[in-house]
Amino acid sequence: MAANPPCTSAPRLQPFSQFPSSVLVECGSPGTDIISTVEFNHTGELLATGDKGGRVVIFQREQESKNQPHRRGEYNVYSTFQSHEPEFDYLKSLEIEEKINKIRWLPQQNAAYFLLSTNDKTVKLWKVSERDKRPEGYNLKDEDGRLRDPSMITVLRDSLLGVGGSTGRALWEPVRASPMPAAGVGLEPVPGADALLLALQVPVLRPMDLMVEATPRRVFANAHTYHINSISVNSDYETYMSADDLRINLWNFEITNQNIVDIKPANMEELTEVITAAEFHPHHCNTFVYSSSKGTIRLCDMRTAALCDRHAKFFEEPEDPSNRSFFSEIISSISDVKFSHSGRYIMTRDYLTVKVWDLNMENRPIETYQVHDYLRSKLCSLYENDCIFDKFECVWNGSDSVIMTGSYNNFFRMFDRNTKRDVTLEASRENSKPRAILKPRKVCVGGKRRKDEISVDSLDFSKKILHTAWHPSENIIAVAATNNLYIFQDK
Amino acid sequence: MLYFIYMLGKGGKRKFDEHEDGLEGKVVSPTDGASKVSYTLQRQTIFNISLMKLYNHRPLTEPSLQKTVLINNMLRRIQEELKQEGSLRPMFVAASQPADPLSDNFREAQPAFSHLASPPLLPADLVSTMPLESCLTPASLLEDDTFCTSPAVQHDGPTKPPPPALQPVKDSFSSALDEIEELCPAPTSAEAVAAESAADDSKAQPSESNIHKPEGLPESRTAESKLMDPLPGNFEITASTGFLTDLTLDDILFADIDTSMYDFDPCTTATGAASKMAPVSADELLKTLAPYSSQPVTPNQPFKMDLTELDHIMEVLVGS
Repeated sequence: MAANPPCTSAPRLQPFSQFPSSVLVECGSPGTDIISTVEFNHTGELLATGDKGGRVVIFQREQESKNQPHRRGEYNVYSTFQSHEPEFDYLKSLEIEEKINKIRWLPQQNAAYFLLSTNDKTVKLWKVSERDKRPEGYNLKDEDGRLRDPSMITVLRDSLLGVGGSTGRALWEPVRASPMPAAGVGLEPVPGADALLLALQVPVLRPMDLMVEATPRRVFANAHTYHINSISVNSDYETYMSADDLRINLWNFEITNQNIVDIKPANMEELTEVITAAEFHPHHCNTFVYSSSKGTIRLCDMRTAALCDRHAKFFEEPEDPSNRSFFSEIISSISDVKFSHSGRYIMTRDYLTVKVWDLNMENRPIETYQVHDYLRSKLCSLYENDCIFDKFECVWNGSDSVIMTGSYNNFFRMFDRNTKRDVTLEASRENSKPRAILKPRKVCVGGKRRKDEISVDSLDFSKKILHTAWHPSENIIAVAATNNLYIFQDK
Repeated sequence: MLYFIYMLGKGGKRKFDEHEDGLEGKVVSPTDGASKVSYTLQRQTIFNISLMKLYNHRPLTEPSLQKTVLINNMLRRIQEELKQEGSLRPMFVAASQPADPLSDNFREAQPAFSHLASPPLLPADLVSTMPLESCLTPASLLEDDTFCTSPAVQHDGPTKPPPPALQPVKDSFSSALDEIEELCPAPTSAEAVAAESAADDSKAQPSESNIHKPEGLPESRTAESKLMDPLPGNFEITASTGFLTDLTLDDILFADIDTSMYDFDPCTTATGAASKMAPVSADELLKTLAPYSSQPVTPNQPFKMDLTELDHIMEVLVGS
């Protein structure tokens, strides 16, 4: 596997500025264009987003032109397609949402791009390919695609083959047919002919405007009883896994699948823990981790057994007795788990913190970052309005030195692991102009509120940033704020 | 269920806001009397909210299993905590045990009530050594539990010291309970629970001037009776549950209810459809519960309860 290209610039937390086209509004009917996943591909050239309406929109980075070196490559829409449609489960009389839960890119192996997209029940493999030439000059249909009347098409006569007479007639014998109006290319009227003549031709490829088309190559369906929360492509590029609340399945891209983790209890009344996220190790194709709603992470090795019910490593932090509350379990539920690019660390996101774990130390994380600890005193309200169940994601930068995650009020946070500095930024149109530098934000937790600070009570909990992505090698980030996608880059 | 709806009406909410600073997820000092009350109130509120979440949202799509599991764990924890607290007090056998063939749940609930008759014994120190998993026994096993009078009580992980002394049980409770039993000779657990709440509420009316007050004993006892009931196995959408198989009492009680209390303030329903509480009719409520029960729901199943008694209860609750 090719190593990740090194970061092109030393990562800094500030400043970040916007691309001119940074606010990429997704069009669609209100309510369905809420972005539900964001993912860069392995080179960072493409950025895919999935939304609640089952659509996938892919952005492509403009090639930097030599004429305008100061103009960094912007992201423009490359392809849009409907990945999933709403379905109805007749057995349970319930709808199956078409919302795209996750998109994962496959490493590029030829000219086409491949990605996996999944909703709650079905994973699909999509091929995205370009077409910039098209064949023209079909005989059986005209340029609009309409089929031609077969009686209009002549048949190659013997004379063309060098056999036949010299009657003085044209090479092509007209077909006895009623006069028809001339249309299209290739018609040659022959004097005295009752019908128009067509010359048979070989279709040729002519350049056309670039067209990007997405075709579904595989549909992996009916393998999950519960809702799929994660998909992860293996480093061997031949397999991938899909995880739902209770089971993890391993897929070969040729459709076959095998169940590798099953935590469903015999008696569902005894169920107290579910799987919340899963990911393959970036380099070791036999290793994967999955997180649970109880704040634990299990690392499994597929070589030990076909059914990886016994974990190789078990990561759990002992509970802090001073912070115990009714909501301790709920806020410890891990919403996202990500391996570092190096494969040495895993990062987990629970409701209030981001934690970095060393794979060699299971009893506690090596780093813990408070994302929005001021919410700790609001947990009951957040439980009542369901915000406590929001699933925030977290991402590493290319060099694993900075981690990023979202919060409320369209805030997102970045933590520099080396300098221990952190910053809160806001993704909103009102506060950002193109090419403007993002201003750090601050939440006032008590006492006197300074001018630029926001008090905890005025935070907008409907504006949540759950999904973010970081370019694999450069300091370019994509932040999804409800139905807007913001792309920021380091100046 | 009426009780819980009431708790979340506007009055209950205002009350909650007043206590908000003291309620939100803070560790309560075991020696502070006011904090103990606040703790009980907080626990009660959370329990109510949890039940509402499980039963009152109408999913068009399958509800999130993770959310359901977390809410269920919360309910179980509170239930277990109350069980532990109930076992601290010496046993008090109720004078009138119901002779009817009631479900085990109901029988289980009554001793919990009886425990409140005597003053509480609060050991000064409580060691929480029991791991959480061992306390989360399946609901069906709760029937076999005997009441422990040993002072060495073990709590599960995140519990706090037990709540403060509660007022002694009123005598009229047992009689009201018997009254209900006469009306419904063979209630299921759901009916039993609703019957308890109806009995409690009707009993509460003469004893409590302000029915809105959530700290009163009847409400908390009602809650305790509900707490002792097994939590439904609502993970399988098509599995029938003991809690919801028979909805006869519920649909009668809900038939005339003023559903304007379902309208929450916008500020508390920040998220989407799951937390939206549109005014709901009894039929819609039953359709909500239908996925959790494999038995068909017939909204107009007759019930033997005296309707005048029911009207009386309704009047009291709605405050009209």
